[in-house]
Amino acid sequence: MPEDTIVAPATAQGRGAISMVRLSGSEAFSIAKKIFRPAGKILPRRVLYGKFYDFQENTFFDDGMGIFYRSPRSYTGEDMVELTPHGNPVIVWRIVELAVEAGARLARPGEFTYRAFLNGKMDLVRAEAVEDLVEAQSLEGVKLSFSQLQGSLSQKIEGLRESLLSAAVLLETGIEFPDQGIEIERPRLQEAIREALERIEELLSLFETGKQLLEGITLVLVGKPNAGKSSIFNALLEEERAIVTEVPGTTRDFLREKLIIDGVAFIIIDTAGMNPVPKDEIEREGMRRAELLIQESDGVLLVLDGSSPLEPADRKLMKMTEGKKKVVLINKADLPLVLSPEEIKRLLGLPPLIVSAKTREGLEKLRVFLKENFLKALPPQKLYINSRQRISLQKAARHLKEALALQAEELIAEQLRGAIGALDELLGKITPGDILNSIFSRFCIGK
Amino acid sequence: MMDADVIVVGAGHAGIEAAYASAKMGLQTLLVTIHLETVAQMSCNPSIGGTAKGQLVREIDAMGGAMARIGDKCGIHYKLLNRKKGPAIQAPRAQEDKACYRLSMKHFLEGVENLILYQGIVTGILVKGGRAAGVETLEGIKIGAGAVVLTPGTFLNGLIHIGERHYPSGRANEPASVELAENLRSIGFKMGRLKTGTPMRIHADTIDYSRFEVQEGDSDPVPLSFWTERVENKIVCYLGYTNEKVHEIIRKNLHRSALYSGRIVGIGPRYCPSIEDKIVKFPHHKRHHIFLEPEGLETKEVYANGLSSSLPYEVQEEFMRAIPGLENAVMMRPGYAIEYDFVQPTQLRPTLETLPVENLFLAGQINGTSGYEEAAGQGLLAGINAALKLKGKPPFILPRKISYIGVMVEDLITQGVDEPYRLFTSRAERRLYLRADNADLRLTPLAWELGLIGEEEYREFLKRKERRERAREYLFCTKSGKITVAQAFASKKISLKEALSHLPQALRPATQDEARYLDAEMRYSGYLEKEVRVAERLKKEEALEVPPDMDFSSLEGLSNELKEKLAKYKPRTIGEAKRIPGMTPAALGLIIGKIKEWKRRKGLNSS
Repeated sequence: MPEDTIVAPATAQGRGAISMVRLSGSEAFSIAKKIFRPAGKILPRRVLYGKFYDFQENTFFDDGMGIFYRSPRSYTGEDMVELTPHGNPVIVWRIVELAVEAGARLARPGEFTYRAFLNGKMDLVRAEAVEDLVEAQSLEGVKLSFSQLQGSLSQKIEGLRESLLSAAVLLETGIEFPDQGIEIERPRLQEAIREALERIEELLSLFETGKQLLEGITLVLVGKPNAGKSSIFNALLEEERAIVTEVPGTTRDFLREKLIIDGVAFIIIDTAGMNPVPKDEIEREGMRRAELLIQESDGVLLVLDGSSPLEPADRKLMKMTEGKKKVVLINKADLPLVLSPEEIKRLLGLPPLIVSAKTREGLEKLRVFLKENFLKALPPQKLYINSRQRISLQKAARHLKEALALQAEELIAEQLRGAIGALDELLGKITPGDILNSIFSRFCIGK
Repeated sequence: MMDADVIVVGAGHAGIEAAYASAKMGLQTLLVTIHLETVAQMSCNPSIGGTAKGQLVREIDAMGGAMARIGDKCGIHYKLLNRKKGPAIQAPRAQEDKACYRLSMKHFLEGVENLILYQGIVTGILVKGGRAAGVETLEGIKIGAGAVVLTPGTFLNGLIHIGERHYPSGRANEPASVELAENLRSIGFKMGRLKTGTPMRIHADTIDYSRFEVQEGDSDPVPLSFWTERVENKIVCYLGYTNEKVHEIIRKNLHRSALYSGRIVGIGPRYCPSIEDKIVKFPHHKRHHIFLEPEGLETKEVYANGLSSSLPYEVQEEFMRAIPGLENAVMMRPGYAIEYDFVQPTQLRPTLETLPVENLFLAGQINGTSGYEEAAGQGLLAGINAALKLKGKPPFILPRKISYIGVMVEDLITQGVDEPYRLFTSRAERRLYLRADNADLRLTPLAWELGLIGEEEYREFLKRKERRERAREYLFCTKSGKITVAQAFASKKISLKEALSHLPQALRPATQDEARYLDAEMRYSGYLEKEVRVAERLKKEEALEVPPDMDFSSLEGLSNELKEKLAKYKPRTIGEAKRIPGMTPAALGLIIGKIKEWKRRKGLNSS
């Protein structure tokens, strides 16, 4: 068990009514007591009022609340203290500095959760859910990751592991104690394996939806120059401006914004400046990037200018987005319509939506359309799997499929071991250090 | 008494292999035991081998140990377990004539060069400067030695329980080693208490065998030893059952059982429960197996396998007589439970040398194991390493990927025990490779290098090896239709008989072991190849060097205990770090990460 004491701000940087600093480790209490002077006796798990004391300057500098948690009844499973001063970064960092002065060490990213994992307070799936909960892009995503944090997936996997384990135990008992007349009912064993396989496949099918809910649904806005991509982009986002922040992305040259429709996040990427008929190397590079984006996206919003006939650029974009899930928008409905919706429908095989970024005509219909067409059905049990978990589940499924094709008991046992190993890996029971490191370094300090 | 190089305390199954190995490696070896009449005593059941144990006996044999050879000399009933299942889990087992085993082993040891058997009760280890320097006996004799191997079995502070009665004893009517246990505690060893038990022995002539099913030995018995040509069955065993009446008697008297009255604090093995345990834990079972196993050719004592009990004598008699066929049976010895001290094996190195005291080695039940074979395997390893240490040679470590002995030792020293440890095939990750049929291929070359195998024996081994390897190559290279014979057999297109018929006459299997080896190699080839790939990757990881000047004390997230151990062991590679007791995968991950970071930083500095 890690024994040194760590400290870090637990709340986001910035000014506010209050902030929190967390300490965890064997010296958490003694270090905190040097900085935080409660009015009364320290009782574990009680909210205590007290003053913050600067033992270097011999002066009090703030007041607030503190909670002391005795091991193992804490988030990390160690002795822990949560100090809540006023929300000023100067105060927060002074507390952290003093704690370090008193013997604590600045926590690494995700270390509080890492310790909770090491101390058996949560499995890997739950630890990952903490990260997802903090990073979730929408309310549905929050609900989903919270459910995961509560153990919805862990329980499923544990249950799965349990049933595979009992199948394996049955098999192993027959192998280890041949004298005891234990006969394995093969049909029952096969049935148990088949059933587990079905459950795994069900979980695997959750991957796409989970990703969509947590990370948002990515849509790329394309159209020839002046088709009105940016005005649609802005019109769609207008009401959201207040709560929208820039979504960090790798492609800096295209604008990405988040749009929330009924609690589901859509990440809209505006390919403003892209020319489907590139004239020079720079524009060709732009096209290549746009193509890549389209490939990786969940869908495309193809914007056509309703006030002018189809041009080669339009046709090129239609060709480029062939086979991709898309919405076709005939923009500029406020101007006399030159494009025939019937013709577009005939060309693309799907009815276009007629909108006007200027008058906002058709925008509400577009929102409904987006949600209904791009979001897969919400998972009924509030479960999702991430790509790491998917790899483990796929591995488990492969082993079980092999097992179903085998006759020899020791070989079936071998496959069951493999499958159980994959689930253990998923839960972080036995997990190669590299995976752990990469998981826990994704966390932010103090979480 | 003259000083020795190596003193082995206890001439049970662990002590014998330890002393024999050490003597063969050229060291003056003294084997001290409480009673010379009970050298190699089989205190409990009369059999050697069984699942996992059969593979283990083969490993001991492959390394020149005595168990399998004497076992074959005195074997009276042979059975290959799991005969209908795959070769990896098939395991030889032999019922022994106990008296023959004891006497033959003693006589054999008496003839071993450099080895002296001596009757005495060791009361303490002499420790000089943190190093074992000899032993002291009850008579006050001090015997000096360079290394000591302790194998006290259940004698270490042994306490026998029968019903309400209990008394100090190492085995029925033999004295316990009380002082030695105290001595180990005073040295500072962390110790615990375990429990085991044995059933009653019944007079053969008082059994109505007509009520039992006969259990014949195999018609083509498989010897325990690679060097034994043939063995035969001389007796039959019998299978019978308990019934509700028996269970009722036991239930009624549970409060009188030493176990259920709370007088026993030691933890017993779950896989070898007493009859009262079985009835309490499996109340829905209407009957339990009883195997009647003769204890030898020149004795009428019959071992009642399955009736281990710590109930009072009269209750044992009452329930025995409720068993169909035992209505008139006469008990010659009652069953009993025994509690004894063990040393938590996390205090051991992979050589079985103790961490607190150098040149002191422990083997057998003192390390928390159970079973003759487990004891013998540890004894062998301890004896080898005691000898190597005195010769100033590097230690001999058996990795778990090439032996059950390695599996056992690594489990013991990294996880410790909370019940008597027994080997199971499922404890081995490479079960398909750790087989009885290839134990000699895996280990005999290593034993040869250590000087544990005679020249003639080794030549015989090389012949066996060559035959098997040539036949294997033939099957893997010769086509049967479009695919090789091996592939055809592995994919069940042809039978084993058909596959082997492809072999030229000279390479056709001459023994069951040869046939089984070829069967396994073909049947598991896909798995074995995959294992080899995984092993290679692992080897690469294990070969990652730990920079000698690396400081673990600053490694965040590592427990102080592990930091101390890292400082103490100074592992040179990740492979060595992995074998440090208490090492966890998470901690190993941290260490690997630290090394990589350290190397990166070094790289930056030097550029």
